[in-house]
Amino acid sequence: MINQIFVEREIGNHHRVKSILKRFASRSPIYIDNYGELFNKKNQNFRVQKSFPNLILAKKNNGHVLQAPKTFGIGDAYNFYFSHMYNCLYDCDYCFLQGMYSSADFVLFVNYEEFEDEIVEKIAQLAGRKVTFFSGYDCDSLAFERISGFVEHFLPIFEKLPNALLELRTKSIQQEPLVSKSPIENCVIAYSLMPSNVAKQIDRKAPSIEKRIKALENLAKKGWQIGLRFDPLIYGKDWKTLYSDLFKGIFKRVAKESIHSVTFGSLRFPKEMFKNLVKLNPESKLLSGPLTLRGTKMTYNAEIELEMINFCENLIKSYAPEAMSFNCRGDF
Amino acid sequence: MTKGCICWVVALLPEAKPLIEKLEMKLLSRDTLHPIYNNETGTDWLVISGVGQLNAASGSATLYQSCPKANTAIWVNIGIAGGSIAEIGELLYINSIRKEPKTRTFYPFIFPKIKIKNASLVTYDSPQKNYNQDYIFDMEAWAFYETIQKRVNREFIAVFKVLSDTSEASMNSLTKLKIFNLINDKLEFLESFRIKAQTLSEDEFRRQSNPEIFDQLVNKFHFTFTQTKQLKSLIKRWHVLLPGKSLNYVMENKESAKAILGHIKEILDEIEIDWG
Repeated sequence: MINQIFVEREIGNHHRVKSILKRFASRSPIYIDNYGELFNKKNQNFRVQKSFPNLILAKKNNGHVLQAPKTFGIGDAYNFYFSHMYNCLYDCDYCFLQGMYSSADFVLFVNYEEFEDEIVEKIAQLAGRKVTFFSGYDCDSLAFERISGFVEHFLPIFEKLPNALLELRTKSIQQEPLVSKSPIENCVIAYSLMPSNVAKQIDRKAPSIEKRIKALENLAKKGWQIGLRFDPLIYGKDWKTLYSDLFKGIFKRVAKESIHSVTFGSLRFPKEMFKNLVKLNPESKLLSGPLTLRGTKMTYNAEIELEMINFCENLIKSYAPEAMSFNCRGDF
Repeated sequence: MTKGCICWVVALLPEAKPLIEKLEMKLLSRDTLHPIYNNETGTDWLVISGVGQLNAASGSATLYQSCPKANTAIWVNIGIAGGSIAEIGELLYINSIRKEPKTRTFYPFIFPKIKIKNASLVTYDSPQKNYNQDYIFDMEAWAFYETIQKRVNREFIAVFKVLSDTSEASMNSLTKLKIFNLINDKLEFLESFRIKAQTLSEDEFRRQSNPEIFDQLVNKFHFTFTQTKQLKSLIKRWHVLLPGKSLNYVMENKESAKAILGHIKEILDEIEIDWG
């Protein structure tokens, strides 16, 4: 899976680096000054790298915790996101990371403690107000857990921060360390979902929808709060039937009380990012579909978008009337 | 079927000769700044750059200008190098290149599943005698890489070096025949690398090339620059959404580029994707 391993010299002796390198004992790491030397280079082939990604172990020096877009949230007025990693194991046609970064290599920032300090600081600044921290926008929160130990590290931190809510966004069926721990009240495990047939074609390398539902069912039974994320909603032939079947399949197996929140988002790309994505995936059905430029975004036409969101929202309400439902228009 | 392409950049004739012979390459023209060879099928091109960084940069640039598939080719610098980290005759796959005095370091992409030792390389302006280092050294690779990476993705550039001189066997003892043999002994490996590289280059060429119908349309109708881009994008969408369906009929009874573009777009926007 991992092609080569690069390590920033400054963190060569970091305990997390040492423990990660132990897992790859047969590889000799290459020491570099700064991850940007590799990651930010212009002339890189994202598609080739996606097949053979390198792992870059680095230190994040600033911007550990950032404000989420205003239209983004799951109930709290204050929303932040943080990224301990750039890029993802999966290869989804609509993933904005491929349009955002020139490299598909994985950058893992190992200085979790500095993220932690900034999270605590933000909470202190907001003096008692509720605040949500999103993880999983520049990477998948759980997919790399065996190597990163990210969730293992951050759960106990958030357990001690009752005013903060942590959302772990994922497509992974990685259950550890969640199944081994008692659920914490202020953590939502949010699964990205779409109809199974669609996911088969556009969520490359990601676990099937059936497996994702099984994973969230299992976590719900253990007492974890589950977030259902239908973002992006994908249009196509028989979309109403496909989404109806998907919701039915989920609520047949997961008690509505376990659902913390449901969010919907239309398929949307900033114009320039869309151009990059098409260049990288000229054979993508999704990107060849009926998308149109509305303002600065490439998206479905307004009629389709509204119809999809209304239909899905109403249907979810019939299954889980109390679940908090949000329409996300923000872009990370 | 369109084949991929490899561009070899080599400093000396004795280093190049095993490749020229094996790949049946012929001198293309005596009229270029550096001698350029290629084979009949155009899958392999080679330049003999001469020794040193200036020559390596100039030779690489000359080959880039000459090879019609230069931007989708895999670029390989192969040659001899000095050092003590391996045995004489060992082939090393270079994973970092810097030059002395120190400037920026390059990290060439390493093709997976190529089971030879990786090494760091430092490029100097003059021959080196201090072999007691944890890297190997040459006089060309940095300039080769620096030149080619401006035009070609780093995943398409590779550097291989055969260890030719160590503290025990200095470079003064190298003869043309010894150099020839050092490279010649590695041909089997280079051939296996070449097959992988060809596939990668072929995929990239296919990704960048225009569909056949595109040329037919732009030759028949006048498309403005913007319309040409729109046409390219619409044809690609067409092939994805309507695979196997000919585009020829959209030209029927159409008298302008605008009418053609409008018609294709209209058809494509009507399609509801069947996710099966």
